[in-house]
Amino acid sequence: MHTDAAGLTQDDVVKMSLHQEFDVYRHHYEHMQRLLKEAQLQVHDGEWEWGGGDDLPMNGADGVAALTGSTFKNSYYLTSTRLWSPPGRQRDLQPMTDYFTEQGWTIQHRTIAEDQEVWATTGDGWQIQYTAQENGNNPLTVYSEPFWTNDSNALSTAVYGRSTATFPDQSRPGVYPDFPEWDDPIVNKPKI
Amino acid sequence: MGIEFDDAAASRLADCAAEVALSLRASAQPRRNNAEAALHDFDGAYSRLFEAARVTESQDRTRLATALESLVEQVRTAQRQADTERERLADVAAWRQREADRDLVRAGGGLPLQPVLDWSSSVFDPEPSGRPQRPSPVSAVFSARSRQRTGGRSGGRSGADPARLRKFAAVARVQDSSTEQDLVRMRNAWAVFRNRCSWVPVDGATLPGGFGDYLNENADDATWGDRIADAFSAAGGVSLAIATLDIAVASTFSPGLQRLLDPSLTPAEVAAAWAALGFSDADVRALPLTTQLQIANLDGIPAAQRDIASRAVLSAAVEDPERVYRLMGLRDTDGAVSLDEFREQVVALRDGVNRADQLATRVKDPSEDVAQLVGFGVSNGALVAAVVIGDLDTASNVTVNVPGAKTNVGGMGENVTAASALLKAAWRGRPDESFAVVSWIGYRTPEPVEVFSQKRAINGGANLASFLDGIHDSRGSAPRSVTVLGHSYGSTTAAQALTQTRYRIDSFVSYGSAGFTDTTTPAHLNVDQVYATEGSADRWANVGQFGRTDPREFEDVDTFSAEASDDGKKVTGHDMFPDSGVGYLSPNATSQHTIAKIIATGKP
Repeated sequence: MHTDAAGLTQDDVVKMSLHQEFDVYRHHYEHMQRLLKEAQLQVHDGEWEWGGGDDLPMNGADGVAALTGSTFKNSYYLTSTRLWSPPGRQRDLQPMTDYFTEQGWTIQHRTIAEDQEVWATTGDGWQIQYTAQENGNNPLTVYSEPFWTNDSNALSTAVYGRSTATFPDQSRPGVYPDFPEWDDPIVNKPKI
Repeated sequence: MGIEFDDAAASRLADCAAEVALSLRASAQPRRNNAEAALHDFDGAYSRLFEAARVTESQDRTRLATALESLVEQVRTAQRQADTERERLADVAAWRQREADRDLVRAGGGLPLQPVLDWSSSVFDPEPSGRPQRPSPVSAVFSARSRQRTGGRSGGRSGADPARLRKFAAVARVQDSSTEQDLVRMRNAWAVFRNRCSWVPVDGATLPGGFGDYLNENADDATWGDRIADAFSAAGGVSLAIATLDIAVASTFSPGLQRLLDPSLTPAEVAAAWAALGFSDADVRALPLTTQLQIANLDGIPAAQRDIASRAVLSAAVEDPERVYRLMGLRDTDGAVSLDEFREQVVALRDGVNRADQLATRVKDPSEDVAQLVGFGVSNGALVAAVVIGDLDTASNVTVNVPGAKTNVGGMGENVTAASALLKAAWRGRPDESFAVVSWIGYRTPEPVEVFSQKRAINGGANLASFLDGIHDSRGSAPRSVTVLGHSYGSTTAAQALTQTRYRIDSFVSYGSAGFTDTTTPAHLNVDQVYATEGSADRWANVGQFGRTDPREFEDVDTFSAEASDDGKKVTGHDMFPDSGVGYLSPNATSQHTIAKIIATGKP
C-alpha cells in the first residue's frame, strides 16, 4: 500500500471519521504555517504579502509529489504563498539556500526564463519553493506532498463551512488567522 | 288546456337571482378592501394593471348584480302574466261548460225559447276573451370583460410585497368560492326555469355563461397575484422588469426578450439586446426555468447574470434530474448522455461549483473572490459548462482553459482546483493585476477513437469562438489580456475557434497538443502569439497528431519546455493533472510555471 506524506495508507484513512480527518488536517495546516514562518524569517522579518487564503485542500492527484492511486476525490495537498520585494530588486537566494541546507533538506535549483528558484524537499512530506523573480518579487511557497482522504470535497466543505477567517493582505511571519475547530458552527453553506 | 309555466320553478329562479345579487353587492366592499391592501407598496406598470383589473371586477360585479335584479323583475312579471293567462283560460273553460249546459236546455225547450236564452246568455254570461295573454320575453344578459394581465410593450419595472399579493390571492379565492356556489345554484335554477316555463320566451341567455366568465377572470386574478408574488420572492423582493413579469404570469415574451432569444444572434447582438432589456439580477432569478436555461447559455450576457441563471438550472437538475434532462431535450437526442450519466455528472458538477465557490473566497485582491458558472447546457448530446475562478466581467486578465478528449463536466472539480492554482501562480507574476481563469468544458469532447476526426473540434471551436467573443461583448471594457490554453484535443479545438473569433486573443498556449490542421495554422489564427509545449514523456500527443501538425513545427510558434529545468519537475505523461506523476498544470511543473507567466505577463 502506498503511504501518503504523513506515512498513512488509504486503509488507515478509511478508518477515520471526517472529524478525525479534520483534526489531522488542522495539524497539517499549522505545521505548514510553522515551516513558512521559519523560512520567512531567514530572509525578511517584516511584512509579507499573502497570496490569498491558504486553508483549503487542493487536488492531491496534482500535487508536488506522486502518490500512486491518488485522485481528486481521494487525496489533497496544502499550499501557502507569501511574497516580499527586497529593496533594490536584490535577487539573493543564498540565505534561503543556506537555511535549507542547515535543515538537511534536499535542494534543487532551477531557472525558468529569468526567474531563479531554490526548491527544498524536507523528506517528511513537505516542499518549499523560494523564487527570485525578474520583476523583483520574491514569493515563498510551501507545499505539502499528497495526503489520503476519504472525500476531498467533504473535507474542503468541512473546513470552509466552519471558517470565519479573514485573510490579511499582509502579515509578519507566523501571523495567520485561527484555524477553525470541529465544534465550531457551520457558517458557510454550499450555494447549490 | 294550460300553459307551460311552473310557478315554483319561476319562484326558485327569482329568489335565487335576488339572493345572488344581494350577496354580490354585499361582498363588494370586502373585495375592494382586499385588493386595496395588496396595492400597498405595489408600484409600476403591474400596479396599474392590478388597479385596472380591480376596477373592472368591481364594475362587472355591479353589472352582474343589476342583470340578476332585472331577471328577478322579469320573472316576477312573467309569474303575474302566467296567473292572468291561467285565469283567462279557466274563465273560458267555465263559460264553455255553461254554454254546453245551456245547449242542453235549448235542446229540451224547443225552438221557441231559443231567442230568449241567447239574449239572456249574451247579457248575463258573455263569452270571455279568446285572446291569450302574451308573456313578456325574459332577457338574462351579462358578459364579463376580460382583464389585461401583461405589460406588453410597456417598459419599466414594478415592485410589490409578495406577502400582500399572496394574501390577496388567498382571500379572493375564499370570497369567490361562495360566489361559485351561487353560480351553480343560478345555473340550476335557470335550467329548471327554461325546462318548466317554456311558455315564457327567452330573448337572451348569456348571463349564466357570463357569470362563469366573471368568476374565471377572478380566478385568473388570484393566479396572477400568486405568480407575480412567486417572481418577486425569487427575485428577493426587489423590483422586476415588466418583461420578466410578463413571462412569469403568462409565458408572454416581450419583443425585447423575443429578440434576445433569437438563435441567429451574434454575441454582440445578444449583448445589445440584453442591455436594451435592462434586466437586473433579480429579473434573472425570477425567470422561469426554461428561460433561465436559455439565458445561461447565451454568449454576450454578463457572466454575473449567466451565473445566476446557470446555477438555477443546475440546482433544478440536482433536485429533479428527470425534469431537466427532458427540458434539455436529451431524452430525444441520439447519442446523448443517459439519464444515469446525467445524474452523476450533475452532482459532480454541483460539487465542482461548490468547490470553486470555496476556492474563490481565498483569491487575493485585486482579483475578485467569486466563482461563476457561466453556462450549463447541452452541446451535441453532452452536458457542457464553464466555471470561472475570479470575475469574468471585470478581471484585467482572462484565461480560458480548454480540455481535451474524454473530459466532461463531471471533472469540473479537478479543473477548478487547477484553475485556482494557476490563478495563484499568475498572481505571483503580477500581484497588482486581477485575473479570472475559466475552466471551459463547453463542447462534446471526443472519445479516444474520435481524436483523429476534426468533427468535435469543429463543433467545439464554434462554441468556443462564440464564448470568447461573448466575453468582450458582454463587458463594458475589454480585458487587458486574454489567454487561451488548449490541452491535447482542446488545443485542436481552440485553434479551430481562433480562426473564427472577431476579437484578437493575446496568447494561445497549446500544451500536449493533438495538432493543428492545415486551415488552423498559426497564420490563420486571430491571435498575437502562439506558444506550444509538449513533454518528452508525453506518448499520446504524438498519436493524436496523426493527420495534423505538431504546433511546435510552425516557425512562428514560440515553444517552451515541459522538461525538468535544471533539477525541476518535468511532465511525466499526457495528462493535465495525472493520478500520479507530474501533469502540465501540476504546480511544480516547469510547464505550469511558464503558462502562469504567460498569463501574467504575455511572455514565457
